[in-house]
Amino acid sequence: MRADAAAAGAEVAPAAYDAEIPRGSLGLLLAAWLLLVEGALGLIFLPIIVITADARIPPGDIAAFAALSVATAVGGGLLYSRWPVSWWLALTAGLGSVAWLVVDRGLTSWNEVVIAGSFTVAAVVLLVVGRRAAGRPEAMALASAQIPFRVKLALVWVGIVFVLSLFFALAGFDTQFMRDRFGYIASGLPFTIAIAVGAILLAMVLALLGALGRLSSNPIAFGVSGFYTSFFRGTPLIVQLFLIYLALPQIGSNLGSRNLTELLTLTAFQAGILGLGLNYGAYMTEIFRAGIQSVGHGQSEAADALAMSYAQKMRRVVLPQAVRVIIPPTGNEFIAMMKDTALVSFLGVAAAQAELFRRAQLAGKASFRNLEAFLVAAALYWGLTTIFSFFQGRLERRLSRGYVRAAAAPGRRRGRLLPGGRPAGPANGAGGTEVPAHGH
Amino acid sequence: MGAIDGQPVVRVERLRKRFGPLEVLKGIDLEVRRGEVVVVFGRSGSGKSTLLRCINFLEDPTEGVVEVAGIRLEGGHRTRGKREAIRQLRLHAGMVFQQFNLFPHMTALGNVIEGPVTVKGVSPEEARARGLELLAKVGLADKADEYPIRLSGGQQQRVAIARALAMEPDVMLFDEPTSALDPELIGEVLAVMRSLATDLHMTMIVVTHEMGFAREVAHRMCFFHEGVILEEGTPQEIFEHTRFPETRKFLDAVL
Repeated sequence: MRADAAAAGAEVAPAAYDAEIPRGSLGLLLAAWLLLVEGALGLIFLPIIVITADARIPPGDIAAFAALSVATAVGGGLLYSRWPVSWWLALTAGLGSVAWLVVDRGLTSWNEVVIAGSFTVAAVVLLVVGRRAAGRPEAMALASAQIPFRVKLALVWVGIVFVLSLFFALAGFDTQFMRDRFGYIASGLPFTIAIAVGAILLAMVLALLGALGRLSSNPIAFGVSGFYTSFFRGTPLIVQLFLIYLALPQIGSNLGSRNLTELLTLTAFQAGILGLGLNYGAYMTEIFRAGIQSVGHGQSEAADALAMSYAQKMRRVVLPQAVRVIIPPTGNEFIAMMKDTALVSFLGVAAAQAELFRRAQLAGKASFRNLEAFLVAAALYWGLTTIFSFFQGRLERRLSRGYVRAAAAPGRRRGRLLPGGRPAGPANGAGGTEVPAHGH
Repeated sequence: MGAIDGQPVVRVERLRKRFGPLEVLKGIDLEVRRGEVVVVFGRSGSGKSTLLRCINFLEDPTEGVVEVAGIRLEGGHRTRGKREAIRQLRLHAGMVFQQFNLFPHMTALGNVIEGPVTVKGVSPEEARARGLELLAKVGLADKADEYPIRLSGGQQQRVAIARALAMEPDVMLFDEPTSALDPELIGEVLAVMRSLATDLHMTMIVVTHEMGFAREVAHRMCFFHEGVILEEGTPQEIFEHTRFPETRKFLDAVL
């Protein structure tokens, strides 16, 4: 009996399932989300309006705003329900909001025009196409599945930017100041980039030496590199920067040597490169060490068997293969370092040589426009790291492709890696054979 | 066999190798004369690969003496001076590995000329010409510009043989050169090794389980058992007049 029922159920199941997307589902989806977002925004801004409310906003207005926000959020949400009546609720909330904005508020600002416009769109969509699809959430889900993930992602980002812009607008944002001072703050970019580039070059040299030391059986090399990485990874970067910039000259003067004092007195720019380079070099030692160790032991033995010296082996055999492993994380470190250049501003740079963050501080303090100045700085850092992340990603993909094809262990997974064409198998006596992996 | 002129190229005396408490080689004496092909065989773990790796100091012998082409080195710790002497010794001993160990970032020809150019300072043009000759000799003239990843195991191993030959060694050490290969690829590698022995009269020490190759090419065979050379003789003596039951048992197992 039960088995029969189950069998019957299995037969009719496809018919019971609403696989067809009714016309208007997509429109309903759009209306639902417009209302949801507007309602949510209203509820987010409600406390701000209440807190900052002065005598100019009558309490009645606030109450109406709150009621309409709740109504639109609930109305939009209910469009996802199975009740066809939700269509009426949503339409009422949308039209009510438009009416309130037009009649009561009088559309006095562009904000209100935009909001009223979006409510109008939602209401029109509901009226024209939404009726048929209302109360069928699975149809909306199907319509939603048709929208590419990338498009939804872009809409989320647009939404975030929109909300933030609204906040800033409410906060009395001085965009004129940002435009005026942008050039001044941005002219710190060359210094920021120069510090980062100089420091990453220094860090790479130190990391290579450190890694060779960590892999050495020589107790001096091992000990020195161990001390170096331990100290520079074990103390805060900002402390290291101050040690180099402020404490180092003191050594010279304590020793009573003018020449030494002069030698040890660095500009903030130099101290920044030295400090960041030393610090990042210590962290990157691990990256380089892992990269060198990723090259199989057999490679080292093959070089030894050819009577190569240690230097020849490293230069010709090990490092060229290690570089493929080392470059991607080194790029990450570079991106991180560009942000840490901001710490150099604490060293009190001469105003003419100031890097990005220092300029933002100066500009912000001078006119008590800290929010604007730091946002400009943040945007510039963000743009910089985004650009480098983009290239970093491309580089990484290219290297990993090359690595798999060119540097996999000999004979390993060969058949699969052959780029196209050659038939695998013993037929041609050469291709497509599987060889046991390295035994090392 | 007329090519064997009696001059010893490799001499191993009282060689011992310990890995911690484990003694892998328990006093090996071996002399290989110019043009001689010696096949070393025995169960895995009997120390035959370790002997080969001690001869060119990929492993440091614990005790004993290794002499290659007149360069005589004691076992024990490495010192600064000894390191250079080891390098000199290695110039005379070519090595072919079980896993080929080709340099994946270089073409076949690049692999072959790497040693001569980097280590011996041969001009790239000269090394290239010689390298192409060697690749032709191992039957891979058309693969000179291929990267190892695009070569079969047998082809890779033949490139590895050409790479070792390019250093013009006095002795070639083969460490199970066909063990990592599929059966159908073993023949091409053995054929190259056979031609080294018969055409070039190359001095060779070959660790292998290929008894057919040993019977045909070897002048002498050494059976390794628990860290010593238990039995030694011509292939005929080994195969037809086996003296030790251990040797017989091993031969029965692999033949």
